[in-house]
Amino acid sequence: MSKPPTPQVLTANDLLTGTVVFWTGSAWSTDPATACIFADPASQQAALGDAEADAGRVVGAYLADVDEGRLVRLRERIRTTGPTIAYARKGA
Amino acid sequence: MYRYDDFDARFVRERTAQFRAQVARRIAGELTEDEFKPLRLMNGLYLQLHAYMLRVAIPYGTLSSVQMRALADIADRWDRGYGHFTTRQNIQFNWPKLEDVPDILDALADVEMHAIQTSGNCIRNVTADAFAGVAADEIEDPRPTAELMRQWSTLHPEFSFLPRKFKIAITGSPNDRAATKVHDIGLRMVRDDAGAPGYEVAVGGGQGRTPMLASVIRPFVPKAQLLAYLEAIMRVYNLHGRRDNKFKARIKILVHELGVAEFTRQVEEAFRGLDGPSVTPDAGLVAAIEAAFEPPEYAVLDASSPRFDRAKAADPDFGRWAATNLMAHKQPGYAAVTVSLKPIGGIPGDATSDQMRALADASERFGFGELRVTHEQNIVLPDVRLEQLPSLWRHLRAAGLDTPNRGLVTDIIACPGLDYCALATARSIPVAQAISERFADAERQQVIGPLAIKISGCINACGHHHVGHIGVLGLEKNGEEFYQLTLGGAPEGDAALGKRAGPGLAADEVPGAIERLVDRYLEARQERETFLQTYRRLGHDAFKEALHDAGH
Repeated sequence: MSKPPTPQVLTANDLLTGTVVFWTGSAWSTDPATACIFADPASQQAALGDAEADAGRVVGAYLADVDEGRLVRLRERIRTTGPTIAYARKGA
Repeated sequence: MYRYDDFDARFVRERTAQFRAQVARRIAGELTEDEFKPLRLMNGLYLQLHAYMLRVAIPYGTLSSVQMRALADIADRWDRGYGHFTTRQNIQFNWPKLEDVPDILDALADVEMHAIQTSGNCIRNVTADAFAGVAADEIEDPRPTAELMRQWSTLHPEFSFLPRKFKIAITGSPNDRAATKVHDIGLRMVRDDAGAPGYEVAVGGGQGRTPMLASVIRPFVPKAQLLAYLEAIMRVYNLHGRRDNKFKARIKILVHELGVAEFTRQVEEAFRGLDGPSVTPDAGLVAAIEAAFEPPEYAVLDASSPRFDRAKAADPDFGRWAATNLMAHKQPGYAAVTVSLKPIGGIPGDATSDQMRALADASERFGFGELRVTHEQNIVLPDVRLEQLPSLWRHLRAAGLDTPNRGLVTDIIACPGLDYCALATARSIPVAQAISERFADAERQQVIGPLAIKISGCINACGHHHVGHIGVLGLEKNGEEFYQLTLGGAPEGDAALGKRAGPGLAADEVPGAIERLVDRYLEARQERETFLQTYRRLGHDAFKEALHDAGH
């Protein structure tokens, strides 16, 4: 039996601000918890197509793996939550 | 310092206006991202993990107090109040908004700066010895040559679509502080038999996934012929550099595949075929550039300062800083000061806007209003009177800029890594912070002596790990970060590439592993021997065993 497809979410950066955003199915949101999860390859590809059509609002759209709603790769988690370091500590 | 002439000023303004229109067309949907991306990259605007990133060129690492203040203002007005100084002597802003970037570029143009050619397959910002023009061991200031190369390479039509990016480093000193052997072209000033200065030309160095040291292809090129000789090198590369495979496109691969002798033969042939006079710059232009780098009006001073000597004796903290962060100046009574951007537990190369202003103020109060960015991600105040060093130190201390660690174990180079970079496979900064905290004791650092730790968050090696005395390379396997150590690398003089030591380590194992290497060195070193010298004497295995001894 072949491996079941990995669920994915659609993510991109906002064109104007660069902010990381996720596709909720009807809009782009900064909250990954609201992201629409695409379970099968057909819906994943369709989602990418939707993002291309929305190229006036976002840039660099791609699919990221999730497991039980959580982004799998450390890279994606850091991308969502920001640098893991306390930057710009003025006067530090 | 070199100041823009009318041509420079007009050109930069025109480019900014062009980019403003391009951004407007992108936002209006008249340009697709595929069309826009090369345009934004030509203006230094990347898309990173969390946001856009703007890389601003600091030609050969030299900037004025006015420029530094402008960078601080940009950080406050359009970014998050800080900037990151890089190993290519540039500065990066991590949070600009696309719609603000044209305004940022205008603000840069106001102070004769830009972000052109900080990305793309072109000749990038030429880097130089951060102590150029002031180092006691220097033959001549190499920056007039660097400025000439900047003008020659900016939008040069023949070199705007190279097989891959291209980096040139230059030094005027026999002691290479510009890592020239790990650049596409490394230029080292030498004298010919008659005493005239020229350049030794090395080609084909680089780091990344295939690290190589540059090979000398000409021991001496007269200054007046340098641009023509460089043009011949670029021509051979442009014709024969590989465009079929991004990973084999750098000139180092061409030199390697052709062999140094054949590559050199082709360069020499191209050089002979060039219409030299059409490439060789006009003598008047060269003289004008050289005049811009005339030394400032130094005071005539004694070679020593009783005030400085008393302060060193009276305050151990100041004494420690003076012992590590000063460099011999060619002018008696002056020193070149390294201001460390590596506070214990801090982020290598980051400076807040307040710190940038404090540095700008310092360069005016205690110098001639000039600063340098080093490839080690620190700042240099090039011309400070010895007698003013205690006052300068207090000024720096108030801004958190008094860390006494130049060249020591906590003066760590680190790329932005997975905390910012879209290409990274692992984080660099937290590892640097943990090592820095482990070796926080300033006295212990001085006992250990010169030790260069360099950390990259992926095989692209922006953190120069291949030439770290101890290199740390961050990778990812099965979703976990791990770190590979290399030993024995060196960017300077007797340049060397580090050799891999032992299996990968988890992030929290790295400081302990480095401590074991340091302990092995301290046990084995002979009088006044540095880590690198001991490593070279004992060999790789002696240090590799130290890692194994702890059960890894």
